[in-house]
Amino acid sequence: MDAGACTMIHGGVMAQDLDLPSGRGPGSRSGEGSLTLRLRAGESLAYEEAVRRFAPRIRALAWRMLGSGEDAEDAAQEVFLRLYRYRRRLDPQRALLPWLYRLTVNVSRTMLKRRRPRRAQPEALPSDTVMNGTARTMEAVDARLTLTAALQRLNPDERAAVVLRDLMGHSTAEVAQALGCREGTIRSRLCRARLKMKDSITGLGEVAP
Amino acid sequence: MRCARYERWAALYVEGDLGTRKSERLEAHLERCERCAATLKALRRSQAVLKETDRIVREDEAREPGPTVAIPPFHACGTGRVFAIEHGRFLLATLAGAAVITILVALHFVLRSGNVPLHRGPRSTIRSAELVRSPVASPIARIAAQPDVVARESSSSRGSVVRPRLSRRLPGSPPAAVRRAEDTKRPPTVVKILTDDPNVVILCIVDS
Repeated sequence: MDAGACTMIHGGVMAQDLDLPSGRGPGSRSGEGSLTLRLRAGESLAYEEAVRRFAPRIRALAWRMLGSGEDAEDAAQEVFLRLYRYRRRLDPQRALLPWLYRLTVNVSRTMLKRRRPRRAQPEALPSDTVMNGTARTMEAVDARLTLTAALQRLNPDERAAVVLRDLMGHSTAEVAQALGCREGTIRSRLCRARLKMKDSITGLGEVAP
Repeated sequence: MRCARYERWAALYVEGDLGTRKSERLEAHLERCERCAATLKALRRSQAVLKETDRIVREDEAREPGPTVAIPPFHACGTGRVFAIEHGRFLLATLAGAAVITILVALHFVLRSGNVPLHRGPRSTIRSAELVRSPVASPIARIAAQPDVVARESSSSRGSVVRPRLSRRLPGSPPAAVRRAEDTKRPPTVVKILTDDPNVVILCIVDS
């Protein structure tokens, strides 16, 4: 790595990387504890590995929280900047990914609040940015629009719970750990969010595949 | 129980988040409540649509070549132990600073203990100095050598001609002949200091 240069790492997202089978927690992946230790020790290669490993998931969560590719990139940058800044606070006994998820949700929530003065609907997802994304096919464009419209009616807490539980496949306990609240709270948010999305998706006239 | 609660349970039941006992009660209710059954069906459909759209979006994201995450700039380091080296540099700088401070303090005490004046005053005003050992060579020395007169260095002689204060011999002092003999043995040393001003000459009597 060149000194003083800002190295860009391309995070190719594989679909299977976003799925975690149930029963495997975000922090139960092999080598994550040693990665945390190496991050604490200050290895730059460990930081690169963390970015390569977690950036797709962080970016995916940020996109679903913010609905904008550019904002998701900014959020991911902020998350990994905080990982670098607070690397000494990492606890090797605890999983790294839930902490990154919580950072991502907090950063996304802050970015949504910043939109408040210039947007009529505070936590609304910007639907125009969907078309500015990199959707390859009309099917992808339509899927992004549908997903954005479904998540748009949720507040950030409900959105984070739905994305982590229903879209990224984590268990309720893992979501509660990642978001720092009780499982009952997560269930309440999931309940409200699913009922809201039922109405919104029904209103869109979507047909089940 | 009203159907609103069963709707909330159905929202959890659809993804398996409902407990076993509540699930059994909900299933029993669904058999006799078409409205709640329709709600559960709509929930399943919306969840399926959501997951299917998310799958398509993920596949689209997987084809994206561009998304990048910038790594903060690190210092060049072949071993990758960047922060260890940063700590090492910090430690070296701290040790170097402590060593410099220790040397300065030690030098200060050495100079103080060796009676080496740390401050000599305005150097530019003193051009040269000469020692006069002969009592005859200096008029002040001659005054000091006189019998019943004791020459004292005046404290107000700075920057002007030395004017020694004269006083009579004290009652307890030795006789004049004895003091004259001592003065003859050890003549006082007179230091003549030339300054930048040619009209100003400093004469100092150094008592042995």
